[in-house]
Amino acid sequence: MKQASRKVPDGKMVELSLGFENGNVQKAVIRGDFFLQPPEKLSELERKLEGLEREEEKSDIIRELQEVEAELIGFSRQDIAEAFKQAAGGEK
Amino acid sequence: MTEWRIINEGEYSEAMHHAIDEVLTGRVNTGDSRPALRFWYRKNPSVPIGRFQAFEDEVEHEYAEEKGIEVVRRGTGGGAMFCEPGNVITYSLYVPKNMVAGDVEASYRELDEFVVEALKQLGVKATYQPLNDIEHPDGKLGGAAQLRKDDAVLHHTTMSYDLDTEEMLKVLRIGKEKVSDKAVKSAEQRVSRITDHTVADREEVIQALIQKFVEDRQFEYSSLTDEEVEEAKKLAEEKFST
Repeated sequence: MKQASRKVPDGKMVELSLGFENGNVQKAVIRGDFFLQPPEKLSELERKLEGLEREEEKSDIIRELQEVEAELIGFSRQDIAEAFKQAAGGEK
Repeated sequence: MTEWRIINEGEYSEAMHHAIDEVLTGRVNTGDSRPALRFWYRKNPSVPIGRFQAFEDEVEHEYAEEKGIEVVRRGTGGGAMFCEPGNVITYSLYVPKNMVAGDVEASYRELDEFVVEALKQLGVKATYQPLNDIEHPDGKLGGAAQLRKDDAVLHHTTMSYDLDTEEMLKVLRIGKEKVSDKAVKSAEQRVSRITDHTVADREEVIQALIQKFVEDRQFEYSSLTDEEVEEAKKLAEEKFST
C-alpha cells in the first residue's frame, strides 16, 4: 500500500493508503482524527477512490468524492485529493 | 422550560461509558429521555481512540496491554487520548438537535461555553479554540467530539485535570516516526492541566461546572435507570469491548 499523510492547515490529520493494481486503485483506506457526518459515509468515500488511475487529475478525484453526500469536518475532499496525489507519487 | 438531567455518578469501564453515551443519545433522539449532562467516573486507565483512527498508529499496544490499559474505539471522530481515573474530567451532553446550532463550529463553541466560563471563574485562563479544543495559553486543556443523530446531538469533552504526560507519551504514539527529544518535548508542552492553574480539587471543579451549567437551566439530579444500564451493558459487550 502506498501511504500519504496530510496535516490540514488549522485542521486535522488525514492518512490515506492506496493499493494499486495495474495502475488503478484497487483498495483505498482513509484514516485520521477528523470528523465526518454521517460517519458511516467513510467507506463510500473510500470506494469512490477505488478504480481511479494512478495519474488521475486532482479535479477528477474531487468530482468523484463530491458524489458522496457527507459533511467533512476538519478536512475536505481537496485534502483527500492532495493525499491521493502524494501517495500515488508526486504532483501532476 | 426544558428540565435537564444531571447525572454525576456511576463508575464504569471505558467501554461502558461509550455504550451509555450511545444509549442516552438514542433515547434523547427518540424522546425517551430528557436532555442530560453526565460526568464520567472511570474504573481503570484507558485510551479512547477516534472512530476513524488506525489503532496501530495511535497506541503502543504492547505497553497498553502490559499495563492493563483499556483501548476503546469511540463512536465519535477526533484523536486518541490517555485517561486515568481521577486524572481527567470527562462529561457528555445529550441534546435535542433543535437546541443546538446547526453550524458545526458554533455548536462546539456553545456546548463548551459553560466549561470555559466555569474554568475562568476558578482562575484558569481557558478559551474555546476551533474546532474542538479548550485551550490555556500554556497548552491544550481538553478536546470535544460530537456525533449527530436525526434529532439529537452527543457532545463529549475530556479535559486534563492532572494528566501524567510522561505516561501518556509511553502509551500514545505521538509523532513516533521521529522520536527525538525535541518531538517528545513539544508534544508534552502542548498539554496543559487544570491542576497547573487552580487549587480546586477535581470534585470542586466538577461542582463549578455543574453550577455554571444550571445557572440558566432547569434541572434535577438523576441516575441512569436500570433499563438504560442494561441496554448499555449489552452494547458495551457487543460493540465497544476489545
